[in-house]
Parts: sequence; structure tokens; C-alpha cells
Amino acid sequence: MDPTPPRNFAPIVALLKRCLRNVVVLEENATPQRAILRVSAQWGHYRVFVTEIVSAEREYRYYVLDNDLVVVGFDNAADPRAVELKFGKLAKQHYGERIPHLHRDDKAILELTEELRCADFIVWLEANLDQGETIESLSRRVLR
Amino acid sequence: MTVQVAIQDKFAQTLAPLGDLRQAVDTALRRYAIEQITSKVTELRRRDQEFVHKYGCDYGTFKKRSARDGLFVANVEKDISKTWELDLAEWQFCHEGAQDWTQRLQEILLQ
Repeated sequence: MDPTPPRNFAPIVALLKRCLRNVVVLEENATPQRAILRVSAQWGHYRVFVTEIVSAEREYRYYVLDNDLVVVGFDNAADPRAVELKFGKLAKQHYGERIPHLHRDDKAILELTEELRCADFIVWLEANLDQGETIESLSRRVLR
Repeated sequence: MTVQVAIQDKFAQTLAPLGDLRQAVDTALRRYAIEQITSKVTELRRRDQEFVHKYGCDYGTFKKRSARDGLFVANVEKDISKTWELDLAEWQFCHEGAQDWTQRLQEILLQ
């Protein structure tokens, strides 16, 4: 029998409730081998979506939407574009690997990042995204 | 591993005349576990199918193509969802989670 993965998401939920508004735990669920936390919240007028999966590997998604526009999205999915950015001509050998990266400008731009924790995401939000700011001014001010 | 759990008197008194109390509790827990796991698997598979319907392919196909084919990803973002990564994480939990519970169910049934 595989060990049950760590599944104490309480500190993450507490952090989100402390820093964001209208925090809703959409799902906190577990199987013998993995656990998931999905949360929606608000940062100013932005919608925030947080997903954490703990299994043999850790997966995360931290997305900020302005209506349907992706203002910023941090994740470590096995996105082939992130693999190609990281490995260039050797990308083919690395497809399927999880690569920490971010999307911005409604996913027009992808950049590699370090692996993030939820606390890092909150720090990024507080430092970079004024709660009343538009995506256009954000792009001009910070992200370009 | 054995865990001790207190049984309420009313159940102990009811079950005692019917045979070995420990065996009765084990049987009840086994039935309860099977019922709970079956319910979990059903729910996870239902959600898995919702994603199959949304993305037009099964989990394995989507996982493989979204990890290797930039054009596929671009088309998904244009035609289906700009935030497919959020969906994929949930889909992964549903699909692989159903497999986790099914495996556990088989272990219980084979015991």
C-alpha cells in the first residue's frame, strides 16, 4: 500500500482567506495516493483560481483572470511551449516534464519561472497587481 | 496495523448474540468501505466524462497531446478554454483518482 500523501491544505486556505476576498474552497478531496485543493477568490475585481495537487509529484496552478482574460497564470504543467523555451532544440527529449512557467498578456507571452508556492504567488500579487488596475495598464507598467 | 475504536453499547449488545463481535465489525467496515469507494469512483468517473465531452478526447490522449503538441495547445486555447491547465489538473485528479480508488477496492475485495 502506498503511503497517503500529505493533504493538510489548511495553511494554504488560511493564507488565501487572510489575503484575498470571497475565498471559496471549490474542492478539497483525496484518494489513497493524491490530494487536491481548488479555490476561487477575488483580488480587487480580478478572479483568482488556485489549484494544488499533492501526489508523488506536486502540481500547482495560480491564475488571475480579468473577466475571461488571463492576466497572469503561474503553473508547472507539462506545457510543450515551456519545454521548448527551456530546452530549445533538445525539447523533444523533454516533452512531458513539468516546467514552472507563467503566462501573461492573455497567454500571448510565456516565461520560465522558479517553482512557486502559494505564498510566493500572494507576494507576487501584492507586489505587482493593484486591485483596481486594468490589464492594459498592468502590461505597460510591470509585465513588459 | 490495528486501530482501536470504541463500539456503542447498543451495537455491541445487538451484535453479540449474532456471533463474533470483531468479525461483525470487520464485515460492517468492509461493506461500508466498498460502498464509500464505489460512490467515490462513480463521482470521479462522472467528472472525468464531463472533461472528455468538453475536450473531445479521453484523458490519456489530452494529457499526451497537450504535453507534446504546441499547435494542439494553441487550438485548445483558441477554441475550447484559455485556462485548460486548470481543467487538466482537475481532470487528472478525477481520472487518476478513480484509478487509485479502484485499485484500493480490488485490494479490499481480494482480502
